[in-house]
Amino acid sequence: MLSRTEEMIMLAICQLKENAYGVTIRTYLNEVTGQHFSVGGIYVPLDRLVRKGFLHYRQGEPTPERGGMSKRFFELTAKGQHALAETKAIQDKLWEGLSGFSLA
Amino acid sequence: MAKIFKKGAGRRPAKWLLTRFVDWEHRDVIIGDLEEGWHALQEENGNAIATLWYYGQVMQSLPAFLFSSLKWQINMFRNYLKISIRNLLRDKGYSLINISGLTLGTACCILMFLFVQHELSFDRFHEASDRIYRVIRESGGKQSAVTAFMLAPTMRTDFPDLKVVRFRKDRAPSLVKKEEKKFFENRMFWVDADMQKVFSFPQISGDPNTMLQAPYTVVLTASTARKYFGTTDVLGENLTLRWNEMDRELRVTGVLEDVPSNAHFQFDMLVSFATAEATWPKEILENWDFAYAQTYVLLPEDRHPAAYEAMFPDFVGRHLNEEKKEDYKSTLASLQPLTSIHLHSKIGGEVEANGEILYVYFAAILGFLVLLVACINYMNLSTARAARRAKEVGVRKVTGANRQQIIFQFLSESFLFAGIALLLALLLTKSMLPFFNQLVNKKLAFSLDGNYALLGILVLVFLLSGLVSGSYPAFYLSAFKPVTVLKGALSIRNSRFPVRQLLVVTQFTISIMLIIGTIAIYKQLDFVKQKRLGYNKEQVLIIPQGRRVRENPERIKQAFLQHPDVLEVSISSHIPTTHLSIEVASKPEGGHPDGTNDTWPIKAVSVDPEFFESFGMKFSEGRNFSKAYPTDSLGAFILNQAAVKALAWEAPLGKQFAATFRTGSASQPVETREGQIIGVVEDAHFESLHTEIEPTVFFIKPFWYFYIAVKFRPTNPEPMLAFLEKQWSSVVPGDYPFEYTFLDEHFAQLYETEEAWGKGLAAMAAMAIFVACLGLLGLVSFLAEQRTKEIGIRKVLGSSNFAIMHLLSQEFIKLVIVANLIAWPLAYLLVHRWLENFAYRTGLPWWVFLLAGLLTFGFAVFSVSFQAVRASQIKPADALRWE
Repeated sequence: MLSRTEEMIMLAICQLKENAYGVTIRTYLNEVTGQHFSVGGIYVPLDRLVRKGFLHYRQGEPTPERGGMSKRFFELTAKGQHALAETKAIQDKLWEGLSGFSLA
Repeated sequence: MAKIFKKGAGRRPAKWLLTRFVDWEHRDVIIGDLEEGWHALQEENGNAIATLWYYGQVMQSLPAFLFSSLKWQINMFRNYLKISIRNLLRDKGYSLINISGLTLGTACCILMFLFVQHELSFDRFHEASDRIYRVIRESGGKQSAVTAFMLAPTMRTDFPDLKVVRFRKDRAPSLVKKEEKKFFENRMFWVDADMQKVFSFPQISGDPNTMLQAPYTVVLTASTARKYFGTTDVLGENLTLRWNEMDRELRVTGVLEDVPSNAHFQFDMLVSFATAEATWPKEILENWDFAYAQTYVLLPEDRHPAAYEAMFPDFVGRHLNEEKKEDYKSTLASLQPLTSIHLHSKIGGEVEANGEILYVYFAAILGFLVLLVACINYMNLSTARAARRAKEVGVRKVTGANRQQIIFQFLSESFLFAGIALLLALLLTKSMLPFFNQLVNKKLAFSLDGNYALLGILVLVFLLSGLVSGSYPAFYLSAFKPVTVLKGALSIRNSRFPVRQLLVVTQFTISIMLIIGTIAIYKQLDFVKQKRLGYNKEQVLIIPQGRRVRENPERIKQAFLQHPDVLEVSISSHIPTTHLSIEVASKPEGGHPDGTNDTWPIKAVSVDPEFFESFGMKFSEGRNFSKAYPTDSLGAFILNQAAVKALAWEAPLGKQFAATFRTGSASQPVETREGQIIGVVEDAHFESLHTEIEPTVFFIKPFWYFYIAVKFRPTNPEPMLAFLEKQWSSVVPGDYPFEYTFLDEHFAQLYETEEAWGKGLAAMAAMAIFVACLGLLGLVSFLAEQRTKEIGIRKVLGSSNFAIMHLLSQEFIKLVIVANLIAWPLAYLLVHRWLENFAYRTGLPWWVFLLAGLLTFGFAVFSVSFQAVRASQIKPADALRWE
C-alpha cells in the first residue's frame, strides 16, 4: 500500500503527464493541497518510489536556468499503476457506505 | 541576459552542503530544481528573497535527506551481513580457522588483562587509598620500611591532623590456643587502634573505631575465627596467646573478612597494640633504636605528602639527640604512597615480597601479541581467497558501489568475525579461568558487572581485532577494477606479494620469540634447581620453634637423635632459604676493607656445631665449632668465602674479629663479642639466586635460636615424624604443637613467581604457534586449490608427488627460516635483560635458539605437508577435468 504522500505524488505525476518533474510536481501539489512541500520532502519519496519500481524517469536537457543541470521527467510504470489502483480500491472500501462529509 | 549566467556565489555554500550530505543519483537534478526555482523567484522578487528561499529549501530538506540516506545505509548493512554470513557458512574450513584463531587471541588478551588489572588494583579497596602513605627510613643510601615503635605515637602528637597506625609482625610465630585447638600463627600482627580509620578492610562484625583500643583484645579474620571456633559469630569469645612464655587471655572484639588477595600483605589475626603496651618491656617500646614496625599514615584531604616530608628533619631533631640522628634507624626520609607499594617498592623491610611493574607491562604486550598473530591469519586468508570475492566486488562496483562502500562491507565482515570470536572467547575464558589460575598460581576473578575497565578492554579488543584484521583485505579487495575482474583475468598466483610474506614472517617471529622465552625461563629454573647451592636441601625437616628450646638446646637434640632415621639435629637463627635478616657491625683485623675506620657491616647467623653437617656445607679451611673447645661459644667466628674475599685475607685463620650487635634482649641490649676466625666455610646460597651471596659470619648465640633442622635418612619419614612428635611434647614445656615443613618445599617457594611465569608463557607460546600454524595450513590448502590445474599438468609431465609437495611448501619454509633469523637476536636481547634479575644465571647457548627454530620449523612443516600431501595426490585427470 502506498503512503499518502507517495500516492499524492504519483497522482500528480499522472495529472502532469509529460511535464512531471521536481519543480512542477511541487508546484502542483502546493496548488492542490495548499501545503508547501520542500525539495527534500518530494525527492525522498520520489527516490523510494523509483527504487520500488513504481516510477521510472527519463533525462531531459540541461538548461541555463538550472545552472547547467538537466531535468528528470517521471512516469508511472505498470507496477506503479497497479499500486495506485490497489490503493484506490482500499480507499473506496474504507469510504463504502459512508455519506460524504461536507466541508461546511 | 548576462545576469543568469553569473555564477551564483551566494548559493555555493548551500550547494556544497547538498553535495556533502546527499549521495544519490538524483543529486544533480535536485540542484537543478533548486536553481530553476531560484531563477523564477529572482525574476519576480529579486536576489535577496530568492537566495533566502534557496537556503530555506536546503535547510528544510537536509534532515529528510539524511534520514533517508541512513535508512538505505542500514539496509545495505543488512545485505552485507547476509553475504558475510553466507560466505562464512560456505567456506566452513576457513571460517573455522579464522574464528578459532581470533577466539584464542581474544581469550589470551582477556586473561592477560585480568592479570594486569589484578596487579594494578592492589590496595585500592581501601576507601582513602590515595591518601594512605607508608613512612620510609633512609640511611647510607638504603631505604627501609621498618621504623621505630616510638615513631607512631610521636607523630600523633606532633602532627595531629594525621592518623597513624603501626603494624608489627613478630619474627617467629606465636602460639594461640582455644581449648584443645592450638596453632602457631604465622600472620599475626600487633596493630594500633586507629587501623580502620586509616584502612578499610571489609568488616563482618565489631565496631571498627573501638575494637582495637583496649588491651588484651584481638580481631580475627573469618577463616581464623572458623579455625578456632567453627563460626564467625565470635564477638566476646576468648583466645589464649602465648607471648614471651606467658599465657594471656585475649577477647575477640571484631571479625574481618579474609584479607583480599590484592593487599600488599596478608594477616590472620590482629592484636591491639594496647596489649603490647601493657605487656612488653618499656625499653623496647620507648627506644628509638628498636625499629620493628611498619608505620602507615592517612593524610587529610588536600594535603600533599611533600608538606609533611619537609617537616621531618625538624621532627627528627626534636625527638632524637645528636648521636641518634646519624643512626640509620631513626632517619625519616619520605612518605611512600600505599598504592605504589606492590609494584614499585623494592626497599628493605617489606612485610611480604612484592610484584613487579615490568611483569605487568609484559603481560599486556603478550596478550596483544597473540591477538596480532590471529589477526594476521585473517588478513592472509582473506586476501588469498580474494579471487572468490573478486566477482562479487566487480558486480558491486559496476552497479554503482563506490570504493568506500566496498571497504565498509569488508570491514563489517571482519567485525562480524571479531564479534563472534569475542563471544566465544568470553565463554572460553570463563570456563578455562580456574584451570589457568591453578597453572599460574593466582586467584584471578572474571566478573563483568561493575568492571568497567574489563568492558572497556573488551570493546577495545573487539575494535582492534576487527580493524586490524579487516583493513588490509578491505583495501585490497576494494581496489579491484571491475573490468579486469569480470573478465576473469584476475590471477593471484603470479604476482609478488611481499605483504603476505611479511605477515607470515611476523607471525612466526612472534611465536619463535615466545618459545625462546619459555625455554629460557625453564632453563633458568632448571639451573636454579641443579646449581650447586653449597648446601643439601634434601631430607631436611624444619621446625620454626627454636625459641622454645634455646634455654637447653641439647635436650631436644638428644631426644630426637634417638631415632635411627635421624642423622643430625641443629638449631640456628636462619636456615638456607630464609632471608638473612641480621646484620652486625664488625671490626675485622686490619680494619674495614675500604681502609676506613668504620665498622664493617656483615650478615650474621647464629648456629651450633651441628649446623654445617646438617646442611651439608663444607669447609674450605680450618675447623667447625666444637664442644671440645668451650671458648667456641664465646669468641669463635666462622666466615664464608665471600667474606674472606671481601676482606682480601690470604690467611684468614687466627685473625682477630669482633662484632657488635643489638641482641633483642631487654636485659643486655648491646653485646660485643671478640675472638678469632677458626674456620672458613664454602659459599652457600642462603637466599634465592636473585641475590648475590653476601659475606656472612657464623657464631654461637643460643638467644637467637629460631629454627630447628633435622636431617634424616632418605626413607619414608612417617615413623620418624611420629617419634619426633612424641619427643617434642615430652621435652618441650608449655604444650606447643609439633608443626614442621620440609626444606625443599621452602626452596621451591623462592621461585614461585618464575614457575608461574614459565607455565603462563608456555601456554601463550603454544597458543601463538598453534594459531600461526593454523593460518599456514589455511594458506597452503587454499593455494594448493588454486594451483590444482598446474599440479595436474606437472604430474602429467612426470613430476613426482614429492616434488609437488616440495613445490608447494618451499616458499613457506623459506619464510619460517627468515622469521627465525629475525627472532633470534631480538629474543636474545629480551631474555638477557630478564636474566639480569638473577645474580646467578644460566647461559643462553646456541642450542636454545636452534631448538626454538626447529620446533617452529617442525610445526610449520607439519601443517604445510598435511595439505601438500593431499594436494599432490590429486589425479591429473581430476585436476584437468574442468576448464
